Amino acid sequence: MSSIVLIAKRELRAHFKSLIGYVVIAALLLLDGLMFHAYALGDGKNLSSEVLREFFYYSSGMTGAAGILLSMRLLAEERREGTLVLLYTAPISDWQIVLGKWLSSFLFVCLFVVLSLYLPLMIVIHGSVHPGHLFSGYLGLILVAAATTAIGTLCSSMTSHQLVAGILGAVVFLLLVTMWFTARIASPPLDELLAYSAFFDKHFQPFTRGAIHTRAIVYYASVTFLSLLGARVVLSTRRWR
Amino acid sequence: MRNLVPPSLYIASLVLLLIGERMFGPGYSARLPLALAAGGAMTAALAARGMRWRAASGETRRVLARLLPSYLGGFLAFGLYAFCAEGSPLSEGFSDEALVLSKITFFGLLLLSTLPLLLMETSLLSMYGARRLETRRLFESGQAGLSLALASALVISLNYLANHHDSRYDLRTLKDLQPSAATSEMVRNLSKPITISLFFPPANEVEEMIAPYFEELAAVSKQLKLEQLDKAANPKQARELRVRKNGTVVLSDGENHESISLGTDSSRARSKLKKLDGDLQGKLNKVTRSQRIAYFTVGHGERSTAPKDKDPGGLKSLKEGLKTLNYKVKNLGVKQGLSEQIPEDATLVFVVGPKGPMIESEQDALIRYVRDGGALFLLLDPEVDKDPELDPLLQTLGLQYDSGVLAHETKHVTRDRAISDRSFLATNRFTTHASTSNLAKGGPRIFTLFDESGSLNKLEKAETDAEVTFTVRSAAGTWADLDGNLSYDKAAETKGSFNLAASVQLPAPEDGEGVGGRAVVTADADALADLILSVSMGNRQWLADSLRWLEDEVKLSAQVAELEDVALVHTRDEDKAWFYGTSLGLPLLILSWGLALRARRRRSAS
Repeated sequence: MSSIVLIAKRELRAHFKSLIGYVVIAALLLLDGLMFHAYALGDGKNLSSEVLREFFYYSSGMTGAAGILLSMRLLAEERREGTLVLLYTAPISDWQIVLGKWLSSFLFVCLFVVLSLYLPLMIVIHGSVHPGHLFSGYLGLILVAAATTAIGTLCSSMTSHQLVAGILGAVVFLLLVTMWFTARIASPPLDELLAYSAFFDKHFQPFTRGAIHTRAIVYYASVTFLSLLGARVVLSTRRWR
Repeated sequence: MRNLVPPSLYIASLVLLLIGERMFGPGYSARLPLALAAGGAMTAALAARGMRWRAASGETRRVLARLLPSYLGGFLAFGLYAFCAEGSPLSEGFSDEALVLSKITFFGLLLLSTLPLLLMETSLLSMYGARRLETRRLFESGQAGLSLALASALVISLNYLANHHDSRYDLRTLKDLQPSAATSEMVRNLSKPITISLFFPPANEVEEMIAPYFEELAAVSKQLKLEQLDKAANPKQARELRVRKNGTVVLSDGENHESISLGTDSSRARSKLKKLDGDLQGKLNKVTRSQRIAYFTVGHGERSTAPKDKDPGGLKSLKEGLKTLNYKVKNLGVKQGLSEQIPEDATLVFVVGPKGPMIESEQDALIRYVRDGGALFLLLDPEVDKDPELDPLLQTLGLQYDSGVLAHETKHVTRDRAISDRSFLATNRFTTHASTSNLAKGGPRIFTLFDESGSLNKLEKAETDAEVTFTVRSAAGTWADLDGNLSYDKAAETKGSFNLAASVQLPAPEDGEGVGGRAVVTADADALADLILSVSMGNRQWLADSLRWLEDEVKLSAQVAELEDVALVHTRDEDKAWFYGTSLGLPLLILSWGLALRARRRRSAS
């Protein structure tokens, strides 16, 4: 456990030692704020829960994108710079490497998600928001962050090029998002399977409306677990490929 | 050692099977040859690896021995497929449970065989040209594949369970779609099994929105069964339930079907969803309750249930409302036997604003009807040409009617912004009684409206032991406008609170058979006219409560959950402040903080 925390701390410190961490968070918050004013508050909507729902909807896209982009460098960069060997030779398991790396980017995205709390404050002040609605929306965002950073970690473990990892991650992410639309043209029983695999429409939408489904929690936890397991298996291929 | 034939055959068999199932499927002639080819390829793959293993020795034999179980697993999975595939003659006579179990085993076996096999073959390929094979490498790749396969199987099972036993926690106080207490009560009291079928295509937003609503209702009673169907995938059920297109909700008790059309487009369905709870109540009533008959007396200038020229005093809305509660509306005049006996199939009799006298024999028939346990809804009207001379009927009910039009200086509806508005009364004074149970729960925000109403009083010396409860009263400060100027005349008129509606329970007949009748009487026929019913939720609720009480049914109610949300109130200047503060302020602050920290670090480093 301490090794996982150590790796995560090292990664996080690297983010904030340079200006990159601050620039990334500031840029993400700026984009989130612009989306909030342009889409959630715009378009003539004025009911509190409707505006909050729209805010969570757009924020989920930002969180997903941030998750993929921030995790694409985790292992790819180490591999490209040859420092992955150092980690391999350290007395830590592949699981610890993967979990430590993932945890760092997950916490970073969580920081962005938590900092965005000031945006729905406007709805709290000028309208009425139930704390439960806020809680469920933010829980959904954190689950999205966990799943997308795990997908990013998996893709990052597959290549030594950050860009390739980023593109791969985006493709997997978009595939999961578009499952919802693919399900409409598929025939049974595949349609049900595809609809269930849909990243946003099936599982995230209820969070935006203030409802928590246990199936959504299981789904996001499953995507996170399988992606991290996949990343661990990819790292282990060096021993037998 | 490089032999790509077995893994290639294995992969080819999977591809052929996939094409046969997904591109063609049951009913296509190409499916069987493709399945046979797939089975042949799988058998050939197993045979090729088996023969190579038999011929090998030493390290090679041990390596191949590791691979053989995976090929054998794939082969067995194909055997199971031949058994459980849709339309397979091998599965005839087996139960559905056995088929489902074999399908699950097929997928599990295929997963547990394929993933280790692919990773082991990849590992084997990487050893091509090596002086000696490393069994450890092969073993590790097999383990990695097996752990991936087992984890996938676990995750798939968990998600299957989570999807089928989903729990929903709604953390909001304002819910845009939830069953009202009345709908839940109706479902709880279902006396026969009802199936609600949701016909929607896969991955549909409208279905996602309404499914929790119906799941919540299904949890209330075991009599309510919920099924989610796609018209394209279930044409037989769609035909039986007369569903023409997806986006339809059907209620069925096996014989009777009632449907609600919502459509599949979420933006278009939104307005329909707001009325879903009320619509469902109406449809549930139609399916679950036997048809009832409401008679409306005619021939004395009563209000019409089919008004001409959109008369605001007509009863079209009342008639429509009764239809949703599964009432059939019929006229009752001399032709239908009003002067002799109220028809035996009458569930309820309405007398709405008679403008001319009702003869004695007609009133006698009504009196006998209500004394023998009938239900009467009597709406009187002060604006009549001739006195309907209803005294015998009113005496039986223990009431007397005062036709002086009531007025109030402030507690009235603004209609013409003139003094005439004073007679358009609004009141939220309700007595707690079974006939106003939901109305009284509504709190002070719910008003009932009465346009040019008279008033009711209890008869001092009533003919019967009628139990009279005045359920709706006017606001304090109302007066009966005797001189017709709608201004309070202190000398001749008295201010106070007047009785606008009464619920009357008659005692059981003396012979002890049956129960006493019930009547709801109001001093204004406009209270249920189109003009008022279309705008006043209070009057609609009063009608629903009264009908429920008259029928002595707990199930019947028209209480509808209404969408409520708090609007965001903000000015343009505030918007600007929030925009710059939120969109630019915090990001700039974070950036500045980062710059300051970096500068500090540089200073301390130097």
